[in-house]
Amino acid sequence: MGNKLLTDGGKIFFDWKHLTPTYSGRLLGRVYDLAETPATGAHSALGIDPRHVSASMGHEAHHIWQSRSMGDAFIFNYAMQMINALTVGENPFQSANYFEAQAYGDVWNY
Amino acid sequence: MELLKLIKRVILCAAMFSCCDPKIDLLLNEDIRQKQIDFSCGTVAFAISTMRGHLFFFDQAYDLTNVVSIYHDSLQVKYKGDTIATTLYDEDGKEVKASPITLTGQRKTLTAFEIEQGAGRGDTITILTKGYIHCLSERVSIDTLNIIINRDF
Repeated sequence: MGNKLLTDGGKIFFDWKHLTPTYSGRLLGRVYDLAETPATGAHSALGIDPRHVSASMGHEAHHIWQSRSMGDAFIFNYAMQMINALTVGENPFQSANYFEAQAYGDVWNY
Repeated sequence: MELLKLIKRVILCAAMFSCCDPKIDLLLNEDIRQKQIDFSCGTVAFAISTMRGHLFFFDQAYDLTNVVSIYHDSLQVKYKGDTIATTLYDEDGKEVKASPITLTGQRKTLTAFEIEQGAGRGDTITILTKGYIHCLSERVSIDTLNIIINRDF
């Protein structure tokens, strides 16, 4: 994905604080804009453009470290948190999802 | 509509194997999504959005015919009587600490700020822009921007 972004003019930079590459802009940026999501994080930080990725990094870095701490189990657990939130009528991307509550609460002070 | 947005995010989430955090556009001064200001050095368009009422993005898109100076340390964000710290990012996502900075041509910047406890329905965030943009040596007149939160996140 990183190579594809570079060839179509997307932006890449390396966040040394969290040791992760970030990708944004062009095709990926349009997909994120369409989905009304400024940035996401799990394996790396992705987003609409570098400004939104940088501004969201305090939040997304939580997801990156959640993912690193849990390995392959993270995505499954994240999905289960989404289902859990939906079953109680809550938004799956908000505080009923433990991983989002942790990131929005900035518990690791990023 | 909300369901459609949710489905889009779920699809993106599945596609990217990532965590999705929705960006919600907010209204400036209760009625407009984007405020455009024309002045003698060009135009600037302001828009604001949020991630769940915690993180706010104040987007600025400039189309300039002359050099302008941005005094971003003069920008003040007020919430419930407190002044909220802001961070300016340039087009490459780099944090800008110097103030003023000069811009020309088509440029984008973003001012981000965070309300730790989260803003909710009925809250107002005020952005005071006095002295924010100077065209040559003239201060550009920009009204105070009020963001009235009319929904829960």
